[in-house]
Amino acid sequence: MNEEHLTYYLYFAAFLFSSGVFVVLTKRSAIFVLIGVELMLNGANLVLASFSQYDHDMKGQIFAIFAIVITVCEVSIALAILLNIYRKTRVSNLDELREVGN
Amino acid sequence: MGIFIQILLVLLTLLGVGIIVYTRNIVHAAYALCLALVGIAGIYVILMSELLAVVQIMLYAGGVVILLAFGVMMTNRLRGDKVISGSNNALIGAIISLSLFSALAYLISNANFRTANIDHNDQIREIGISFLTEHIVAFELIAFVLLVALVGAAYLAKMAGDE
Repeated sequence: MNEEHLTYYLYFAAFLFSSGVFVVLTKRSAIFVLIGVELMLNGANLVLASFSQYDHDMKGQIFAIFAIVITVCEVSIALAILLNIYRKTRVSNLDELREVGN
Repeated sequence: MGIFIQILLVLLTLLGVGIIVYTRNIVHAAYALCLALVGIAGIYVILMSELLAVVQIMLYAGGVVILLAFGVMMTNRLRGDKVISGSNNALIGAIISLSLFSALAYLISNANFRTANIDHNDQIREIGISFLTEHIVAFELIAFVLLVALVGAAYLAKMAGDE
């Protein structure tokens, strides 16, 4: 592994992050937006892992594992909230969602 | 051989991301996300992060994608809707994400990283020891956060079921 490989993976992670931003900005459905957030988080984790291979303590890998667990929490809470919103307002497209509350 | 496998994994991930960007079907997007996540797990193996690859497959490809598929079925499918979702602001979104990518690529191409060759032997043991010594507070906190989040999610979903 030399430096060219590192920059190559960093470009790839930048691509993952920006395509996640594209999905979040353009798609209408809330679940699509969650998928875009997942892509962005994976780009960030890829950067952490690709720097971690040059580190004795593997701090990047440990940080990425913590980030993955936080993501799982986030997705489960977000889907429960979406389910609640859907049951109350019968809306799953974010554009049609005009009010949150009673 | 190694470079061939790397290119294959990157192409697999790019295929998944491309399907997510182009498709309008939410279920197809969830399965394409699964494809992309497995490709990224393979890249983790190449980057010598085997434990991270296993965690990625178990939590993401196994957990999150199933949760997303359940989410689709519990919202759109209940009413018998098509699981098709349109997109809007495609031009503005493309401009913003392309400019973000070019800014990041400019920073990466100007950066100068020093690299070193390090042997990662007995990686999982090292990570386990550092979880229980140096990162013990973060480890316990994350366990607590996971517990609270799962109980909270179950409670919220039960509230939805009572309506």
